[in-house]
Amino acid sequence: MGLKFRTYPIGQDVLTLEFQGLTPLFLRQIMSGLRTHFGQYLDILAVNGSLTLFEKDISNNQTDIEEFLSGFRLSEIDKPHCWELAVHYNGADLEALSLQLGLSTQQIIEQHQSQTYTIEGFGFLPGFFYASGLPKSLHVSRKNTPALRVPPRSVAIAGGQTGVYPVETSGGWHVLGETAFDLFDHRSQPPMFMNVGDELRFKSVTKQELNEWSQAWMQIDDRKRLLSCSR
Amino acid sequence: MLEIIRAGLFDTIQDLGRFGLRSLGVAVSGAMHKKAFAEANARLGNHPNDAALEIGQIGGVYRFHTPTFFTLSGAAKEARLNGLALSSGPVHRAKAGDELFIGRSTEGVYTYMAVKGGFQTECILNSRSMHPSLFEHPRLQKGQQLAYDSHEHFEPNSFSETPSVGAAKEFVLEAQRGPEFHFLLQPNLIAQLKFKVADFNRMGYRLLPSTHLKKSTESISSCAVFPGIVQLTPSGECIVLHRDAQVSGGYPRILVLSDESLDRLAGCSRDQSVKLLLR
Repeated sequence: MGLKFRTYPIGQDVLTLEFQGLTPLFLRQIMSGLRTHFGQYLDILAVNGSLTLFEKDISNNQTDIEEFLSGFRLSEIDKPHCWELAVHYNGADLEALSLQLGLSTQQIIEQHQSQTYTIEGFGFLPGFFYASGLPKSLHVSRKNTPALRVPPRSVAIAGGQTGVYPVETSGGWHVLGETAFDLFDHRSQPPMFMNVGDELRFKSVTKQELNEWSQAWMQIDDRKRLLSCSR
Repeated sequence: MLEIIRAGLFDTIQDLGRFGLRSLGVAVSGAMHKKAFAEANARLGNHPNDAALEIGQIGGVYRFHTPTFFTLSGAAKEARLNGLALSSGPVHRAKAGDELFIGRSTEGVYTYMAVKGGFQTECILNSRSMHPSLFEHPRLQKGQQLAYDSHEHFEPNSFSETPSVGAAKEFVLEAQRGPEFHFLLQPNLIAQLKFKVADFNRMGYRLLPSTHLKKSTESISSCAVFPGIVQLTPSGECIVLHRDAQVSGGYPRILVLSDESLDRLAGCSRDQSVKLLLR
């Protein structure tokens, strides 16, 4: 079956491809197909089921890209990679959230880690991912007033999504806890091994265990393996 | 090496920016006024991507520890070398120990101070541009030392005068329709209004329209944004995203400014009145 899409340029150097009903994993297949076909370094941003391409004069290639998409066949064989992040649930917003949602903090923690999430895309900050799959009971709008200081490695929720703040920043998501890993490392190539379409789980750990994970993260060479889900 | 004796109000190191990593949420950043930045490098025979010191509205005091040649481009500011006004001519020689004072902008905002061969400061993901989410300090601090290669000899090439970035009382920004242009209920109005720059930083400029902009009550989910996108906020203000803008945002994208207009906007300070010209 062919892809359902529409494309539109935004200015001369930006082209958006909007798809209907595609999973992030399929989007990722298209991203890698586009890079194979139009250049390995093509800058592609995935947001909300669309891909936006950035390259000088890319709008001149709109027809070529549409042709490429029309002929593109999705493959069912790709399996998403699954990552598991250890989280110490001691977040600054747990109590307030408990009042707001009418759940005990324990229920919030249990429900947050009961799910498998899917990385939909990146944005906001280097390495900040938007992962969908938050249980309905935890859906909550952003804070009216963003917190001035959210610590790095904060695990947070907003809307129907969860994410991890890579660096200290101000932000409007509700912080549930802290993970042990600096997932975005500009010294690494690539700076982050998580990708659009990957699956993600969270596992509640004590402060002591979090420190152990942190030690392991600093010492181990194969960080990918450290975070891979045990199946 | 250049030592920051007293930092300006908003001093950063900038080059052309960081490319190819938007997929991971990394902003482009780079010099606010690209033309002025390019001019500085060209005068010194530098590579177009060589890093320069970008100075905001108020400059600081800087000491050269090794000999080099330097130039100032962009916004006009009072400048003194060892207490004496800089000689005319685009390129200046600095000896070890020379102290450069840079004052407040008399017109325009961003001034570039480039040295021969560029500054060799920390390079993160192929760029020295100091984006706040990647650098420990979002701006240069007193005592910081910026490395450069020393140069004793240089024949300045005959290069044109600094481009004008101030002067005009009203700035005209060229814009194209954005994907959510139809959110404007009176689309023709946008080209007739005057806007006032309410405040700004390297991420964006908040423009207040002289008449309220009526907008559709529709909302959009997050979408891709980039420098040049003009967002319409729920309260009817326009935000022009500039060089340090995030890669995605949740407001309707009503217009897109050309790169040249982004430069022009970078010459505007608070309360400057601007007009939009729809192409």
